[in-house]
Amino acid sequence: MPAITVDDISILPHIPAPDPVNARQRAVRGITTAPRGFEGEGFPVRRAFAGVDLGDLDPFIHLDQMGEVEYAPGEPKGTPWHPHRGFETVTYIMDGTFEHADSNGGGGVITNGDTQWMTAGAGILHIEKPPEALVVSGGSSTASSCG
Amino acid sequence: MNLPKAQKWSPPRYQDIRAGEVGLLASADGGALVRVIAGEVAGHAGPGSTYTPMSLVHATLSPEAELEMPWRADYNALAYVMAGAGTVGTERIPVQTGQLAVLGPGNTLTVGANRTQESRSPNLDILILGGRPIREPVAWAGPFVMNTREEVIQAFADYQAGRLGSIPAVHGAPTELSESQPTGPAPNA
Repeated sequence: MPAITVDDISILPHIPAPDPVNARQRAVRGITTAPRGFEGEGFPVRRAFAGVDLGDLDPFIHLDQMGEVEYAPGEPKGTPWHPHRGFETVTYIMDGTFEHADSNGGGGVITNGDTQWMTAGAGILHIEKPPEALVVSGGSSTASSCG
Repeated sequence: MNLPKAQKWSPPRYQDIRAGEVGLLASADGGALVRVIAGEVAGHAGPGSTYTPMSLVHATLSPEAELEMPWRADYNALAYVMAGAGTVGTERIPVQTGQLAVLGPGNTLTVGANRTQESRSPNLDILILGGRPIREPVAWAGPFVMNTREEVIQAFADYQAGRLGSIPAVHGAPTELSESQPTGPAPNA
């Protein structure tokens, strides 16, 4: 998956090994498998947080993995205009391209490794859709969106 | 992410975070690339601006790589596998594409990539999320996440009344209803 990659990881700062005296490893409390569904105008998603208690997710409430999907020409789908209030949505594109627009003047095109972070706050309308060129040509897309 | 009661009425905001802006780190064994989108890992911050403290991380682990990293004890910890197969925790609980691990208390977390991966996803791509819990009542319906049922009903009413904003104009189209009547006789009159 593209996202952002580096040719030589060794030049990056390394995360130091935890201090064995003070490190308290987090144990797995539960594993869930995301059921598959459809979002908006028919975008295939995995509902990553389905079946998990909101108290365990707090401050997160929702996570969808959109795709991986291979489109035929004319097939890409997005969401219609819809409202939000009271939370934030973050969409991280692993592979592919999405267009976003909102009633607050925010928006643009996000692609491989980009993130759009939308605070709905008191209220906003927005739309997410694959760009027209992708609709014409077909192509692939993978993204994760959390709220 | 949820917003605390005091910030649910904040003005809307949009952050455009480009791939090249994220914080980049390597695991101690050099086999994992860690992208910090928001919050921080081992003192390295990501670009996302958050209302409550949280960290958002996307890690790509090569086969057999292990990523051990500090994770604030006052945060929760969630690990979601976007692609690949691996393990979570030092007890090496198996996880694969589409699975979420909820982690318990502690200040360090560990994930590992299996030696054998599917050819279509040669690495383990995992999202690691955590934040300080807000611990307020949640009333959630459709696109609205509020504290009380009344606030959700109000949100639906406000939306119907057009108080959540209006759809921006496209291609110079009129933003209000525009009507005109033809002048002169119709073509076939």
